[in-house]
Amino acid sequence: MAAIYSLYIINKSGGLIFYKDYGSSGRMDTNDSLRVASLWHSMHAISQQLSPTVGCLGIELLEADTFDLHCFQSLTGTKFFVVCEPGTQHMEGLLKVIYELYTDYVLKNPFYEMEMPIRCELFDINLSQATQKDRVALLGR
Amino acid sequence: MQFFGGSDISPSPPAPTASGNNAHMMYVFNRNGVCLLYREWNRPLHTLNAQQDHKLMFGLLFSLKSLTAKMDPTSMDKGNLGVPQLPGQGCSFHSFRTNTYKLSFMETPSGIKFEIMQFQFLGRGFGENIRFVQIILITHPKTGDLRESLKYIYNLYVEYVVKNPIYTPGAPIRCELFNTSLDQYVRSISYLLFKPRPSGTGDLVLQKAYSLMLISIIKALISVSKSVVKNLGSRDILNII
Amino acid sequence: MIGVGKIKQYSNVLDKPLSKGKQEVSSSAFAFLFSELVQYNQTQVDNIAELERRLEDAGYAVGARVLELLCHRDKGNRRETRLLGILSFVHSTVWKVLFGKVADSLEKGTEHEDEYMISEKELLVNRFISIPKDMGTFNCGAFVAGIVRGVLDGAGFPAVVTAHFVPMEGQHRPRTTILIKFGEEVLRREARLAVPCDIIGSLFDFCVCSSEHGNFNDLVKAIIATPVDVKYTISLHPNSFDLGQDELS
Repeated sequence: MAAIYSLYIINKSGGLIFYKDYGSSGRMDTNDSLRVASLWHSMHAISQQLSPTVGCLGIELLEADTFDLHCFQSLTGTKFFVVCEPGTQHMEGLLKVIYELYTDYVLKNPFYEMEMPIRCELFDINLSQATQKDRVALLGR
Repeated sequence: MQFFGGSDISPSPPAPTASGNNAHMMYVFNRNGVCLLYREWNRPLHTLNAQQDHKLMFGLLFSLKSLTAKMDPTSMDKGNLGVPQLPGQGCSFHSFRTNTYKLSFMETPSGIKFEIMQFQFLGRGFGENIRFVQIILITHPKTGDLRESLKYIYNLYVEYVVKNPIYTPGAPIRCELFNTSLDQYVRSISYLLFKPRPSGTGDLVLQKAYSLMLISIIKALISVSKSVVKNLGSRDILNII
Repeated sequence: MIGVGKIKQYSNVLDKPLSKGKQEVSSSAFAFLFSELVQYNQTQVDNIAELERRLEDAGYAVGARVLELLCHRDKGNRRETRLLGILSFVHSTVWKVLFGKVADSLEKGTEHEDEYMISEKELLVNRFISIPKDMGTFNCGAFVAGIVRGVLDGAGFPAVVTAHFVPMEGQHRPRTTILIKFGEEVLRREARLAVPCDIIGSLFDFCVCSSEHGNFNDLVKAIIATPVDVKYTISLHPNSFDLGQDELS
């Protein structure tokens, strides 16, 4: 069973720009993944409103009954989140790595239009390498 | 007790799991989203008025539940996004964490049929499931798993609210006994008396708190030893210390 | 006053030694700048061929300047005059200055005599670029092809230079090959140069070089008849292509 179920990247206005499934049962269709992404975007914003103290940056980790959801928001508002098995380690590190790949292979690509769905071959290749189980385990060092 | 099988307060409340527990506030909602109880212990920031705050919180939990039910990677049939699900149905969540707080969430398990029968028997059910509530506890982000603590709070609720004959189901909770026992328990969770720091300095503060505790223990020891060994000279006291 | 003496003040800017310059540039800064260059040019064109041409033109300007700079800096104002010489100059010296490494390979085309190929497993400009499927065989290496063309053209080796993706076995990514097709006159000159090089010696290469359209036999005769002092003069100006036949005879 895969440790990581799926990966989402949403732009600063809540639109899904990247979705990859790594073998969860009952795969979501495009419409559902779009809806889930925009729902997460607003939940993330509301969680900041409800903070008891100042300086809240939104949900980092959601622990559900059957999965964990780790979320990382870049300074420009792009959100990356992975859905993984409960208790999976090193997900923050993995999200940082994915963010780095995004800045390298998506933002430096002259054929990528900002805020639009990501279709970059190089990003896909490097992402599939980064999400391999043994690579993720190495992040712990 | 038989009617409320399993509702006995466990003999000893679960020990706070991680050091640095510090509760900010707590909400209790019923199924219809009415805020039955709102307690606040440490909340420097208020962005909204109370009513809006409660609405927003209930809405957030509702949406997060439908989100987790939809995202559940282990089930094939997930239903449609946004369709309300019966309690205990679908994949729910028990906590989320931001950089400034951690929200722990508990929804009482289902078994609705059984409950309604009970209340009909008691003659004050009004078709509403009094025991079905959502308990939300907001604490310091570094707090550990609070699922057991929430269960304990739920037991308090059952004991002091549900079993209170004067309490009208669906009305805000005004039970003195419940509030005091709740405060007491939450205080036992946040036994380290320091303000939460969002980042970095946590360990240092912890050390400080420990050293403060140590100092107070030593002080207590001194006073005890003074009273016990009144007749001894001061040199002996020093030796004891 | 520590440190004051370190920076010597030159009254005349021309007296200042030519510095080696900063050897490293941020790869991200370059990647973003290049990305913008491509994006800007994309707004100015209607089709991919035109985009490729514009990128090549941008590279050409770089190449011409790089040649000038490197000849002055590394070669004491001399430059290569032979085909293989200039190719290895591009493959090693130019590549090292621009990309910090020597190109992966330099090969001669198997099908055509006038074709040479410089191949790179991962070209610096292509490092972060994924070509969308609808753009077909477009390669941003056109910019590098332009640089190579600029260098070759400036050195007197007019050529048509293009960049291509060549799929590699067992590799995710295809490598980029810069294909150089020299002009006819370059090949003819090279053929003429090849003979005297063996017979008379390299001193006369330059004379032959300079008289592309002259009769070879006449020229050899002229050289043999030339007094020693003239030969001496020629060797002092080895890079001078303008040394006409008139001067020799």
